[in-house]
Amino acid sequence: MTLGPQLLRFIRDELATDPGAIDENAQLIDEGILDSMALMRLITFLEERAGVRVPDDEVVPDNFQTIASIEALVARLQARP
Amino acid sequence: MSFLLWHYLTESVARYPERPAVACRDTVLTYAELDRLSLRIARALASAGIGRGDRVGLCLPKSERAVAAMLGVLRAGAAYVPVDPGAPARRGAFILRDCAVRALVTTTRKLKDYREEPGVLESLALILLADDQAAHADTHGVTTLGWTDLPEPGALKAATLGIETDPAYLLYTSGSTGNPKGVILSHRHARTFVDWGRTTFDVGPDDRLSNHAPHHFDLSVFDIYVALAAGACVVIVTDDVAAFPVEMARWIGRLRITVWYSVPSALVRMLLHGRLADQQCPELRTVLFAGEVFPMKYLRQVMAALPTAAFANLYGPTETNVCTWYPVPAELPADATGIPIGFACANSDVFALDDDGRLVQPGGTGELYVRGPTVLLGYWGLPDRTRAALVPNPLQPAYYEPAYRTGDIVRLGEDDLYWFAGRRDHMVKSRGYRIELGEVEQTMYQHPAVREAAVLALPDDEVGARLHAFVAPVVGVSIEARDIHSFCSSRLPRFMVPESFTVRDDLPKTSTGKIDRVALMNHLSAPPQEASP
Repeated sequence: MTLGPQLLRFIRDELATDPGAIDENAQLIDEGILDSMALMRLITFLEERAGVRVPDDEVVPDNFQTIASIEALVARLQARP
Repeated sequence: MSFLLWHYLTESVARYPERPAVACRDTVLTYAELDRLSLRIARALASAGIGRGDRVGLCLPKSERAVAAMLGVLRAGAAYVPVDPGAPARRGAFILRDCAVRALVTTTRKLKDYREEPGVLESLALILLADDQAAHADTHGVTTLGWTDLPEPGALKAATLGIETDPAYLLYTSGSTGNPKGVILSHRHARTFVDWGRTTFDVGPDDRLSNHAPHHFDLSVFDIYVALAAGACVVIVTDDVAAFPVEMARWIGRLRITVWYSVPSALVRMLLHGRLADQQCPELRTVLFAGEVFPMKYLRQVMAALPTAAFANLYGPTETNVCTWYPVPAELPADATGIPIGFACANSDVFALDDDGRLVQPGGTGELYVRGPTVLLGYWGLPDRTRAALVPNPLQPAYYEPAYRTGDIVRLGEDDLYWFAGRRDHMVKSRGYRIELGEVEQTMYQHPAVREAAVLALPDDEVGARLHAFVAPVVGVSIEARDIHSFCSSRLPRFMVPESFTVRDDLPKTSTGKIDRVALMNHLSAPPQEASP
């Protein structure tokens, strides 16, 4: 399974308080889905599942707005030597 | 005469009408603007018949409008009840029903959730939407105003003026019996704390106070009302900034914060993930922390990263706000392994009693009691719980005077400083939030397939404690950890949802037939045998 659907499932099952309302285009920050607690768990998930280390400087709102922006971040980190 | 919480605003508006009172993102309200806005809200409430003896729910993201709403409710003579907008609607609905709010200030988005919850909207006299769109949504026939529909400010009837022992706000905290309980705090309670805070930390009109804590958390009472009392500016940390440690750490200097107040874990997070030491915040002079124990190794590093600031540890349960404090020495002894919760704040009294009810002497250990104007009025609708917590002062039998039993075990040092030593019960702290493990367990038991449930808290330096759940299914039924996780997520606020769920056929028992928590704790501490999803 590619990362996108896994991410959606993780966010729905483990982070959301209202799972039904979340789809692949959800605005994760504006809709209050990603608060500080959820973000920490999401980063742990990314590090375990995608095998990347997310540097502190990359933990900025632009990289976590949507599932697509998280996928782009992971792709960029994976491409690093 | 000044005796109500909102009198701080009217006093400061007379002195500093054009100074900033509250800032949030790109919006700054001056004292004159905040005065006017809160009066408009008060008039809207009064027109709907809401006043003394009523409660108004506030369920909206932190913003200058949320602060104005608090003041508007108080000026109408009612008490406000802040509800976490990020918590499941089911929990918010419980709170709003429990204390029978008569009006609700919320957003169009949250209103949609509450419409699905029975018994919430039907009993309201007014809904005020804090976003600009006036709702044309179905609100069960309840009068609904958008922000732009607020009436012009005008005089309020003198009858709305309360007295200092009236409730000002209710804060709901985790309850061991499965539902949150509402702590009722009076104007006098809050003002006693605010006057102490303003004087002790010498807050003046040039100060800029951070508001990091959510508004349903009592740390925010300091931020908002000490600022208003001093004619200072409270600068709100929005959730999107708070979530990102590097942004958060930069924000302190960028917004020229002079007084910061938060739980230790927020500071630790900036230290570990926000490059706190690289930030420039030369104007920061005071850092206050409360809500949990600050691990020493991190406290030292945070103090080194913020060299211009003096640090102080504030202690107190929601029921008393802050009752003791300790100014942290700039040079911590190299062998210090912790810091005390200190000594009583001015106009508060604390003492500890041992198991035999005797006053604890230096060197002894016992349960901490608090007396004075900061103690709660009671728990909403829970007279038995109130009687158990608010007892006649055992040291003073001549007349009735309530003393609050904190449930916290403290040690009294030879230097007359108190040290936190643990809890009498199953309450734990994570990220400064109180969590009754019983409430989490009761929630899991509501799942029809759960036969046994236990929640354990593993101590953690970064966040205080991490929760882990164990469940056993009803015989013949299979459950997945994921299902229980979702079940809890839709019922509990995020800080109460365990981080892992382990399903077993049976939970281990002690010889008396109780769930064996020690065995489960050993299992957690051991290297994992099987991965839990």
